[in-house]
Amino acid sequence: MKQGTSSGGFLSGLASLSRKASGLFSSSEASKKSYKATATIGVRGLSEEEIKNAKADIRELEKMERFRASNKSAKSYASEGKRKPAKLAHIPRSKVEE
Amino acid sequence: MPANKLSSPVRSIKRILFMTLLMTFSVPSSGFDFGDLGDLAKKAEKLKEKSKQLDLVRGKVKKKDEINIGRNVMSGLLGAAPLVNNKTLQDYVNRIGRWVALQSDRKDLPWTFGVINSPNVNAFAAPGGYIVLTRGLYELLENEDQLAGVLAHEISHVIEKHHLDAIKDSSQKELLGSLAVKATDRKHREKMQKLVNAGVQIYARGLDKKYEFGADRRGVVLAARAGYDPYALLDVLTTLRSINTSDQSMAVFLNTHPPLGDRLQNLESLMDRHLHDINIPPSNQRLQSVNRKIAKGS
Repeated sequence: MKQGTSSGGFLSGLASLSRKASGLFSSSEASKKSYKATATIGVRGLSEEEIKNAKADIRELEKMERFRASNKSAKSYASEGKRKPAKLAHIPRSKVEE
Repeated sequence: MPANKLSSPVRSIKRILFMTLLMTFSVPSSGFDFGDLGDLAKKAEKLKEKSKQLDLVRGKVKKKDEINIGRNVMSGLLGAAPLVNNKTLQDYVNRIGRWVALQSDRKDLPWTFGVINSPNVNAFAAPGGYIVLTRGLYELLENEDQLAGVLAHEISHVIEKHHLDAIKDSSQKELLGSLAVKATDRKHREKMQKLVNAGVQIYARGLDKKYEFGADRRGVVLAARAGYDPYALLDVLTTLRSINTSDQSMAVFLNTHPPLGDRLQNLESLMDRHLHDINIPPSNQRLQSVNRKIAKGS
């Protein structure tokens, strides 16, 4: 197990849960608009039943595609964030995958 | 008598036989009309479509079809929960996601990421490079390394074509070919809606557990290749394990994934053997910075 993991495991989870309760998006107007759209189609969350009854929303898909990043902008952003690519082989499959 | 010099009666009989055969097979008794050509064209089209479906079922899914299937399935999921209406957030996950995907051997897919407006904790991958995580999961993330870890897990599902396999394995495999076709008319759109629902329902059922373990294993390597802390995915899984199992926001996730304890145990064991000497860069503070912008409403 790695020592000194930056993000802190169990305790970080508790901190996250308290942040979740505060609701990162709850105060933004943009978020309220999305909630309204959600309510219009009768979806309160993403439960099993709601997934099963989902209706295709092509407009929302096209909106999602407009946010697509280019390779150039992704590379540039990674560089700004001091993320350097590393060569690393994939880990062989374990027994649980058989 | 030489073989090539047939007698006149024999030549006549052969000619009659030839003409009879020609009339039998070339000209239908009802006469030749263009309606028959139309039927033949329809049959040829059906055969072509059947062959395409068989190819898809056998695993020969063309990239173009894979992307079209992914678009349709993702549009269904977005119908259940739309994107969080925040450009800063969507741009952020797209840049990180694309960077991680560039470390894979499927750089050429149109990698598209998003955060959907659901308080539930989950993430979904669709064929062709369409990936979303829920607002509920995003709000649990502590740093960019954890975001990269979650996205790398989903990217691995796409690279390994796990969702396509799930469609093939399900009773919907005969529909796979139709999923790859764009809706052109009302009748087709109705059929397409049924197919999209079938594809989306895999999210409610979940993938085979072995695929989840596989995506964990490949995901940590992709994240590390992108310069992120691969152990951050373990931290996310640990955070999720700390949430009460009766919490409704976790219901679908827990029903559709292997037990978190099993995933943690497997991943820790693999990483300690294979990634123990990896050089982990210090975490940056960009996720916090993006969250501050979102909180300000920008």
